[in-house]
Amino acid sequence: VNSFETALLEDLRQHVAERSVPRRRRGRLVGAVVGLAAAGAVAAALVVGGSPARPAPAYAVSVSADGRIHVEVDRLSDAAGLERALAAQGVTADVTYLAPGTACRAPRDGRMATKKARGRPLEVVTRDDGFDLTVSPFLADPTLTLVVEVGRTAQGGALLVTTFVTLGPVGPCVPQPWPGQPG
Amino acid sequence: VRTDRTVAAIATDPDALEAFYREHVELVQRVVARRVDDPHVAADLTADVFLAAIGSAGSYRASLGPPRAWLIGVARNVCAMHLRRAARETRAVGRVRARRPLEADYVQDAIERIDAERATRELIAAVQQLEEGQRAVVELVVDGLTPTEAAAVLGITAPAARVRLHRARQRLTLAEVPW
Repeated sequence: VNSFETALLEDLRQHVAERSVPRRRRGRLVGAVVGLAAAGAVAAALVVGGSPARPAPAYAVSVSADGRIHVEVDRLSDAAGLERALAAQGVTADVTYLAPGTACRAPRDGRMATKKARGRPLEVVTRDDGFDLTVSPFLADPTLTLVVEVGRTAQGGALLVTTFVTLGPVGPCVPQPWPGQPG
Repeated sequence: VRTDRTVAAIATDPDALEAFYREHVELVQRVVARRVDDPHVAADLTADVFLAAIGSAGSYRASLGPPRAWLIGVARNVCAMHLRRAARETRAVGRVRARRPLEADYVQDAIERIDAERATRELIAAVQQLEEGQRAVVELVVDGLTPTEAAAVLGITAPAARVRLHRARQRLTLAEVPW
């Protein structure tokens, strides 16, 4: 192992350690690694790299000291990946990203967990291209399913995030035109 | 036992990343040396490949092959992107890259690796004339994957990969085709 390989390993270890903290703080941290590679090349590689043309993750999941699970979604893709990432934190989730102008037909099959899921288990903040979700550790319960439906009223319209919790699994999402939208 | 999580862990666990890095750093540098002949560029690309692997670790599927095959796919994408960018930038005049100085021991290793891969580099340059589908299979096989592994990396069936290899072989002159 030569000097470059050792230095690169140290930078990569630091990069990974810093990825685990909530993403809001990552901007300046990623910069530490940029010194190694020509600036610009790194950001581009993160976007386009991956197994055949697969982009960087569209989401990040982290856990704060109080056990709350923070989800940051930057792009509405890879819902299954987000479900797996939440499963890794013990949360069973059913995530659906809908085409613009559609919504899941309500109500979906399943038993609403009104009692167990009471007490603001969730906080949602929507942004133009994504959303932040804070999940109570209370939802890391195998008997509960966190249901997340994300869509837009129309192409280019506002992002709408619907969340609820069911006891046991939820039925499939049946997309239908967004209420009030023609067609 | 190899699982999806073996690789997924490199995105969050520095120790898992270190084990993965130590196992694959030579492989990544070889893949890079088959495509570029400048030690500085090779160093940049090696860093880029690991960053891209960390960024997309969640995309690894054990059912589609060993981590080595997946990583070669990542490395090929990163290098291809660099080469496309480089082709555009040769037209720009007076471009200067800020570079971190590299130690002599690395440069020596890199030059030896780059020399050793000269023939393969020429082969990969030759296959750039092929259409992308064939080129991808050829490059991955040249990088040491079996046709079946290359197929998994590209998301195509093994017979389709063999057909592309066969067509590529027909397009190239015999002297260029060692597989």
